[in-house]
Amino acid sequence: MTMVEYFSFLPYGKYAFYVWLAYGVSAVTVITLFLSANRKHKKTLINLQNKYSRK
Amino acid sequence: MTRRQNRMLLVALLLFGVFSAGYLGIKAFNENLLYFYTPTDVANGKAPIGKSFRVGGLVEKDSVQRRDMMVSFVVTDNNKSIEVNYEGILPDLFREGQGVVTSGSLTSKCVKNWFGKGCKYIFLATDVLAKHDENYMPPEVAAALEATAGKE
Amino acid sequence: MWKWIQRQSSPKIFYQTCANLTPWFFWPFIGFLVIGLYWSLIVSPADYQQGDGYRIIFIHVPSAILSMMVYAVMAIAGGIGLIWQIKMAEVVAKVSAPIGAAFTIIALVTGAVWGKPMWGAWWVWDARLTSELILLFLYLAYMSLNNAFDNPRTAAKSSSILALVGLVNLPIIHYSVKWWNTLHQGYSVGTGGLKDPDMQIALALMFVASIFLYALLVAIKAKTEVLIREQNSRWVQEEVTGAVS
Repeated sequence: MTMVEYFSFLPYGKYAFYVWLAYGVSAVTVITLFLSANRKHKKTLINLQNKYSRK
Repeated sequence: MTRRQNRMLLVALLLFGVFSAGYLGIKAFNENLLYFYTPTDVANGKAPIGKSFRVGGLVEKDSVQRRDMMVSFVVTDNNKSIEVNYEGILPDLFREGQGVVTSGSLTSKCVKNWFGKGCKYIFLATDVLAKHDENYMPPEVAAALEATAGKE
Repeated sequence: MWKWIQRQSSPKIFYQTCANLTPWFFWPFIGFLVIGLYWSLIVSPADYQQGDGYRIIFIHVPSAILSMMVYAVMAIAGGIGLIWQIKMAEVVAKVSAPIGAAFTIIALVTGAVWGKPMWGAWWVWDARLTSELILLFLYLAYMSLNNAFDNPRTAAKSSSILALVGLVNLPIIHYSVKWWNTLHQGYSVGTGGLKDPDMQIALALMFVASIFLYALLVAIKAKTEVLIREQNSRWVQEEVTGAVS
């Protein structure tokens, strides 16, 4: 059984694997980008705070 | 000249240089970037013979013949056409009247008949890709468009 | 308006603007995304040739357009930084690069996933696909060049020049389907290729969502970048100690 057949129970039948793969990859990329940007900002704030308190 | 004007000039020169280099580059690489040849190109001898290359066009209506995994069809650009032979799995969108890009090489096929020996070029494809166009619509709209096209 | 733009060249004011605008980018992004996905996946009808497989277009096309738009913004902001020595333009250019690269990757991956069932191949070396891949390499080169220097000003200068040089790739990508025989189809946007109004609405919604996403990510990343660059100034110290306590 191929991946395409395995995922054909989802909406869009024989194209389900491709459509959901495309939407899934895009969602993961966007969410990663957003979370890493936020995390980096918080980390920078903490780093700078430590730096100032050392003075 | 002030330093800012200097920098502006530098950037302008840079842009000019880049765009002219790009233009020349495109001109030079135009031939190499050609992804496929049309049947007219092949008929005019522009396609490389003996080397593998690609032929693209529309699958002619009523030209598809299948025998087991062997498929034979005619690719046309509404000017010239060429017969393509292929063995393998065809993509979903392969159908008569649709665009197709096949890669392979030319070979001549000769047949003997009452009138003597006749030879013609056929294209032996190792790979067939479907090329779809830029139009997307529900089936009802497609049917309606076809109906109005038929009336004209 | 012009005055407002000029004031943004001050790091402190630019930081404030980014902080203030973040929610104004975030919520419209979520709104357009949710409605856009609903329109793309449920409201839009199936295609007469490709069935439901064509629905990848609603991600593929907006991200491909954004991949080029972000590059243009990056190069122009870099050029402004180069000519007028505006540091905040350098910041915008720098933080745009990874976002643009992400849009390019999404365009390439969704294109491959779309190409496999329809064309019969994940990848072909036609002019459109090749030039979009070069765009990804340009983004990566820009990012590595920007990281190669310790001094942010030198880094900004050299990478901006690279970005301006790479601008030549944008018209090549756009016109590739016209200038050469490509497997990739021609323009669907602006030529009436999408015949169904619901398909057009879905694509427009997803496009607007992508723009808000870009703006949102720039705002967040620019804040971080300004803090790092201006860490020795008094206002950053006040901002940081005030923000966490």
